[in-house]
Amino acid sequence: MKISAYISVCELIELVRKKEITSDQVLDLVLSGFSEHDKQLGSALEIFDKNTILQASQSEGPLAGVPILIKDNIAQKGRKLTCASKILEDFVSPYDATVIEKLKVAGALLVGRANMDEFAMGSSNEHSAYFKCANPWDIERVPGGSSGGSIAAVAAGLVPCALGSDTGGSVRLPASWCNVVGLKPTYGRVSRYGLVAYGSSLDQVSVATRTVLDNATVFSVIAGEDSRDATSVPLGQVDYTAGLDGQLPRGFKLGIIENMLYAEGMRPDVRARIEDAIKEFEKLGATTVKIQIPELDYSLAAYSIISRAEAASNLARFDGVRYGHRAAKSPALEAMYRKSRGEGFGYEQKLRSFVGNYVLSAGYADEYYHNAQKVREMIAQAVEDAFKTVDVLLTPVHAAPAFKFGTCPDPLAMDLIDVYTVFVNMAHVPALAVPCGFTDEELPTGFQLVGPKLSEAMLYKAAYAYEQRTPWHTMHPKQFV
Amino acid sequence: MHITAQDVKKLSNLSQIDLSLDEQKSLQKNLESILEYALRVRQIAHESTRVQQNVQACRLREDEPAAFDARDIMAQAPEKIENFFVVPKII
Repeated sequence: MKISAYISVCELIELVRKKEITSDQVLDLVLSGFSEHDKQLGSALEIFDKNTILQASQSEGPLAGVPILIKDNIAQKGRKLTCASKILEDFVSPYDATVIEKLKVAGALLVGRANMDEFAMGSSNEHSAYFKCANPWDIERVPGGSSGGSIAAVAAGLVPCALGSDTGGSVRLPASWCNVVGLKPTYGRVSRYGLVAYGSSLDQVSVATRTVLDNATVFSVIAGEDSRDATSVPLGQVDYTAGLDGQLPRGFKLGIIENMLYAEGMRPDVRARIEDAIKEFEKLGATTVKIQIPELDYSLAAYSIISRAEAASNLARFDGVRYGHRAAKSPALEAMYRKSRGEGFGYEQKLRSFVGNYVLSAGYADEYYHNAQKVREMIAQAVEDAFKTVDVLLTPVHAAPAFKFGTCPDPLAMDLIDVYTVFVNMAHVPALAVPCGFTDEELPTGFQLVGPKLSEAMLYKAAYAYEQRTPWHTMHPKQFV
Repeated sequence: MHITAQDVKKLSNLSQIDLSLDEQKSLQKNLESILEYALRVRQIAHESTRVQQNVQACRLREDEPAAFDARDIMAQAPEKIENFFVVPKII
């Protein structure tokens, strides 16, 4: 049976359920798609062989027959887990992450490991230690990061769904740069057991799909309390597809953060697409409320400190002792640590470890880390206060569309790309990145809907209503049609 | 603010990461610009009243050992003797 490369998760579930196509046939199509297109795209570090994919998952379940690409910082038992780093080049995971267990029980077909920025540190996917990943809409440009491979594969029609991780925008940014829907859940809503930690108070496994309904379908499977994650929210399974009727909730109030939308550096065409989106919400019956949250102007500075402090701690385990790369011929233990990490880590791991250790060190911790924690609390409180007057916030995801490879001048400039996304992780709230059209040079752009904690159902409802009135989810990159 | 070559050396020791000469120079420059930007937090941190901690209390589990096979853990050790990780001597 021939099916479109851009078939949705829900359409595929239905075809498999009606036995019009088998998982075996789905995999034949997916594997040939990667074989034909991925040399050019670079979205996957590895695609698994058909038999092991089929054997790994249940044959029936709510996601039976749905192929999903998994970011290579999420543990899949018996598969390599490299985090796109040389330091874990030959490491094979001895266990499944909780989200992987759930997907296997649901019958999903886990087809491979997605390319990413090394250890999820980056905003362009240029920092993979293996090879670059391109944006399917313009292969001279980056897809965004750090979950670039996951998103690129979805955008190019190689898979209908991928898992990524989002610590400061790592799914939402590439999603908006590639015309994909990306959810960063409420902190704790999805188990982090088996997700290689970058910023432990910020990370969340995230879902990337081409449509809102698909996203809600897969998220409904992976969300839920997990006793193996002490930060897991005590809430069980929820069907997030219920209530997607194309309508907004009655009396829906949409908050527009003026100091974000009208910030210096925001490209006029990106702003214009967001303003168009706001008009669509108003036609749907939303009341828009313009607000200012000045604390958010400091979110990136605070995030830079906290994320690097946590990264420095989380990277300390990679020392060549128990697993991973060990430098040859070290005369003593400390020399072995230093050489192994020097040889195995990329530049960003070194830079972030140094920043992290600096801001935690004696004489500097008060000025940097403790101040950053205070600012984090102020941001979280300000965001919570905003939800007393509005239901959902609509904000930009980025100031400009995807850039050409090699044109971001330095690490600080790369960090500044995340200026609109990091506050969400800092405040532990959910955010859904939704496509909203194309820039003057015909590159995708999007907005994000940000809600109170555990408001994913409302985010999906609002996003679905917008999506059904707009054509973006039906549009696909010419090169990969 | 100013980051010196000494600072980079100290951080190399703290982080236990060896650097090439090029990396040392580059890191010095990039550290300075990132830390300079991060210092912005001082501009509003003084307004904090710390009325609320954005912390989820860590839930504890029962003190029951989880069974696992040591062979899985040892399987990827760079060097081992039985269930011991072998490392160079500590001077």
